[in-house]
Amino acid sequence: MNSVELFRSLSAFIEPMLLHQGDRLFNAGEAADGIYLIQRGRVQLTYKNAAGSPVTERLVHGGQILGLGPLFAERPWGASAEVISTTRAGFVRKDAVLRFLDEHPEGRLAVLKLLSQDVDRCLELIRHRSPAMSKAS
Amino acid sequence: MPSPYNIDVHYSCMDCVDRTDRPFCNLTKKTMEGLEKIKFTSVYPRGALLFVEEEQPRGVFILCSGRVKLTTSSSEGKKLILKIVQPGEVLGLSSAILGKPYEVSAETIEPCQVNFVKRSDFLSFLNEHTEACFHTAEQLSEKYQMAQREIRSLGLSSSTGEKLAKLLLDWCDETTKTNGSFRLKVVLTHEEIAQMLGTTRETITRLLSDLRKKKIIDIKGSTVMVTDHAALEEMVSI
Repeated sequence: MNSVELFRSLSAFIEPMLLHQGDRLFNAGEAADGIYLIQRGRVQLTYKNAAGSPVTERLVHGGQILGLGPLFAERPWGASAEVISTTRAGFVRKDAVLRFLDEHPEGRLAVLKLLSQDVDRCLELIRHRSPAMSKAS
Repeated sequence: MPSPYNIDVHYSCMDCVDRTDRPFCNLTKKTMEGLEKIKFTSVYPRGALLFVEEEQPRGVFILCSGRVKLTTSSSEGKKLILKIVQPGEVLGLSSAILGKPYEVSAETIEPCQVNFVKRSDFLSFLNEHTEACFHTAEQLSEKYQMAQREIRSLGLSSSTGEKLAKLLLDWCDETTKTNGSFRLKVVLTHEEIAQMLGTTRETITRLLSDLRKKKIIDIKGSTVMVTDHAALEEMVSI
């Protein structure tokens, strides 16, 4: 099962929602009790830096899944999610996600691949963006 | 009984007393028996390379004891230490799952016991054991959160003094206070601390010396005593 098939399979469990510009899916610090499937539209993830100013972490597009990391780490949302163009999304509760994965081994491996891609993407960013890479000798 | 590098080697995970405190290893008997069949126990001295950046993934490394540094290099060969890995963590996970080259290098900084699992065996193990899959997802999620925190800190313009104070405070969090001070056994060289903070060895030596003159820390050999924790906190909050 690839990420597209995983997305389709999980779509059977969603609570659908239509969101408009400015709507919020969740705020940083709130409990992450499920995942969001972004079917179409765009969502901006932001966090506040030490000075309290908002910083954009990334933009999430249709076909992407939000929240696998916080769900498995059992941590609250690390960023806030705001809709920046009309978005069709679906929420899948944590117990439904876990039940689905319990019954579908191929779904479990697809989730591990998505999480691994997230880790690799971050490591790549650190390698290219770190000021330490230009100062250390 | 004598053991390599004077470390207490556990050849059977079932007998490991730390197992229940470690999220990945805290598996049921049946799953643990599956892992026992596919793992190879090895002991390494300080300075051993478990794997290197860009190498094709051979498998995963479960760190049982000792500590490992994870480093990455720029195209000019400059090195950055990303993390000091503690026992219980699994190394090389994302690369083994994706079948992509390792993103980082892993080098032991003290004698270590490592349980190695070949990539093909690990993927079959995940396929057969739901519980192991969930524990792996948890490990990956933790790594993801850690990497996100690191990315967020890249944009902050902290001074090297502030970064060093923060590092010492992080180490204090991992130990307990005795007789009014935190006793840190530092296994990293000044050069390695410099690679963690993106500065030079000379700067680290000078900053540690300044902290000692101000009686914030005391240094005896490889042991750093943090005697004024509040002063370090103040340096970070400026």
